[in-house]
Amino acid sequence: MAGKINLGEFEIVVLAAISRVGEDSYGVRLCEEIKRRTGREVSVGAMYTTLYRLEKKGLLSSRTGTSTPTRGGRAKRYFRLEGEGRSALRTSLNTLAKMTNGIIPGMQL
Amino acid sequence: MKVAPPPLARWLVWLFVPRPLREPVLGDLSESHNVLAARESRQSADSWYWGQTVRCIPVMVRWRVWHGPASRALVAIVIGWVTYGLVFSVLAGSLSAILPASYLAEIRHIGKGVVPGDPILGGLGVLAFLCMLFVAGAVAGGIFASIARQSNAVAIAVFCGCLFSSIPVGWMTGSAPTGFEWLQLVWLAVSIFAVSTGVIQRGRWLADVV
Repeated sequence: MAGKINLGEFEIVVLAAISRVGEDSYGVRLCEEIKRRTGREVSVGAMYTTLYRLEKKGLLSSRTGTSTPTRGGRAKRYFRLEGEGRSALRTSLNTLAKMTNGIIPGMQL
Repeated sequence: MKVAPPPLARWLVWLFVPRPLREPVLGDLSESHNVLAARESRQSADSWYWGQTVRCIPVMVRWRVWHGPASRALVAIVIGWVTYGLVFSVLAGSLSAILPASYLAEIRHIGKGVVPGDPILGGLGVLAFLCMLFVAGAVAGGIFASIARQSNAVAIAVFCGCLFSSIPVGWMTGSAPTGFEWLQLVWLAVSIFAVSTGVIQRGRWLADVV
């Protein structure tokens, strides 16, 4: 099933960010990670609609965390990469690599 | 120290963000707003919050429109009718062979406003009535499908219920089966097929795409 799921560019970025951040994967941390690595400013709204869609596809799972006063008493939502998500990410990156390697001299995915 | 985000911006986010995403989105925005206020200034934190709000609204409106009951119902109907058009164009010849020639002759008269034994409704009026039932059933099916995401069976049951409520109209037109009743039953069958296909396809196939 995972092999048949086509991921968009931003979905790949989000899955890779979760893979890098690990246990502490929630909206703010993921936005920071993406900004730190790519310089791309991500809106929290776009981040959560993507996370919700990936969860519906079965690539992620989520759990509700703790709430703090700085969050206005609202709980965090932590995300975790599932086996299907890992597999879909690997497939997408392999496809990209096959299509792009050699296009730009000196660059390899 | 906790700094509250601009109330109007927070209210706009609350208004536009759908319920499943509201808690984490508002929480994350508050958290980042607090960090920015402590690191830079309250003013820059507020302008960052407003920036996020402005960027959030179109994303959420698009998300709501696409996931809303009306768009789900519409997509279900369109997919269903396209499938029906493809399948029925193949089956139309076989169906004509099944129906007796006299019934087919009678069906051809319906388009001219002739319905045997029906003094009140003309043929076109009955067809318009059936179309209305079809749309009502399809919309009801789509809404049920969106409320209970996995219950395609419920959506189809509601749709069938709406359509079969039109059968008494056929019975009122005469005691013996007529060409009109045959037409009505065929209409019921293809409509059920069309919308069922749409709802199922919407649930299974498009779920991966959108």
